[in-house]
Amino acid sequence: MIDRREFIRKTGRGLILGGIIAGGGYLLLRPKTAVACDFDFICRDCRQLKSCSLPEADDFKNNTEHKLS
Amino acid sequence: MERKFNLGEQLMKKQIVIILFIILTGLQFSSTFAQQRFPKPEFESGHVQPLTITPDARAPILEYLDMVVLLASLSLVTWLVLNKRSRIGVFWMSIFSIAYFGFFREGCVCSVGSLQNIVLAIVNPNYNIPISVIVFFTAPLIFSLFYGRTFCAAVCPLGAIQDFFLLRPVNMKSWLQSVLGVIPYIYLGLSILYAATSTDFIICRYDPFIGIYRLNATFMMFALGGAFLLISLFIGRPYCRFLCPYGVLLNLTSRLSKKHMTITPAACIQCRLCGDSCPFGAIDKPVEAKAVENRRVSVKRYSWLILTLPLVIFIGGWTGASFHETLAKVNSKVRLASVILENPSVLDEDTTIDIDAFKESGQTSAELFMEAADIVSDFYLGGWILGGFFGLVFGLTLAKLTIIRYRMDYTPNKGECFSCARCMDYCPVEKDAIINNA
Repeated sequence: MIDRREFIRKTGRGLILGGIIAGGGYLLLRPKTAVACDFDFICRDCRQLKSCSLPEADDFKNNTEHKLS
Repeated sequence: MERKFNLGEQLMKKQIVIILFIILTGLQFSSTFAQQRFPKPEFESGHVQPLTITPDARAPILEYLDMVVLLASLSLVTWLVLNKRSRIGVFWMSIFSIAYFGFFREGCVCSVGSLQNIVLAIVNPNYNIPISVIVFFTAPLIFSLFYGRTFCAAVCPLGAIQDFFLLRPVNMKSWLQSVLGVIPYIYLGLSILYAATSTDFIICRYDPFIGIYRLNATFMMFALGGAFLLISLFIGRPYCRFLCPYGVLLNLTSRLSKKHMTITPAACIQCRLCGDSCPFGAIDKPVEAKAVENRRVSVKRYSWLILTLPLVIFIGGWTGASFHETLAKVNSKVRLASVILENPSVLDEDTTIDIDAFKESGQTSAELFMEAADIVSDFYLGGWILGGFFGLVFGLTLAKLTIIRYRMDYTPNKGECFSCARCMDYCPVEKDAIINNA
């Protein structure tokens, strides 16, 4: 006879695992959009910004050059 | 056998030596900071200071290396906890995590912060995230779903550094643990709200240990990190237990784990030696069944709880939505719009970097107000969801108080146990098994 608690655990585990795999797969495989940085808060609030050489950081620095100097 | 009994003392001595080593080594960096204390001199001859050469962004191949190291560490720690049942192995793995994920990789990418990237990527299709972020977010959850929180045991650099400093653990009152244990849910809700509205990554911003790992913390963050480590000397893993939002997810998945660690490798002999061995209060003590509750009474109580829960969620949601404007003020655009709305003359004064940037952007005030209104309306919806979530947590916490789980043995609490393997060293059945094997 199936144990009730074990059944709930198995179902929960299956659902969460399915969700993680489906969600991860969606984020991984969805078409990438063109590079457009709408998330300047990440750069603006980053303490590593001055020494960061990522393209997004370079763009942000170029756009706000005079304010950072 | 004697040697085994002294394992705790040996570990403590080693920890003290390593802590002293880290402090003395850290002091050597003071000269590096001193170089940056004053601005560079300006030469009258016209000599221009050359630009500081910055390291290139991490090559993609090294991103894959990080993922391999994460998966290998998770597998190794899981094997050490479940198969080898080795506390010393877990201890050395946590040293490795502090060194690699902490000081070498400077705490980034970290699974705790990756939660925000995932939320923002789900809500906003324009936000692309690399595969490493997805792996750092999902791998610990999947491991926890099958083997418990082995990620917390020794792979997370934030947990490892606190665990390392735990020298004189003090047991906390269970009611205080329960009350403080609600904070991570609040922090989780707020971090999701602010990430989803593209406002801020508050987990990263207020991470108390990142500044220490990067050796570039502001004074306040360094003081916060230092305070957490100081508390960690006596209270086991204060950040993990009373703040970590990712821990909430790991707690949930670990409850469903298929093969969680056990205190004893065989049948429990009820010696109670492990009873107070857990510095995190994550061992459930036996609860004897006194009298079987009347079925009708229990059904009635659970029916009331089920009926009350949606009401509590609704009240929470309504309360959250009422505070949406206050919550939205953290968003820089909303804040700027509200400053300009209150005093339009600030645009004529070049006062702050935000106002300056706004003027440079060529955007009109009307456009900014429209954008801010959209963000505030997002916060209204987010306030409902956030408040509803708090209501759900509150309701379930109350419901949990009425549920009594009867158990015969001392067992690790699957949700709260960090799988650190300390309790195993207290089990005489474990020691007998070691002696017999020897």
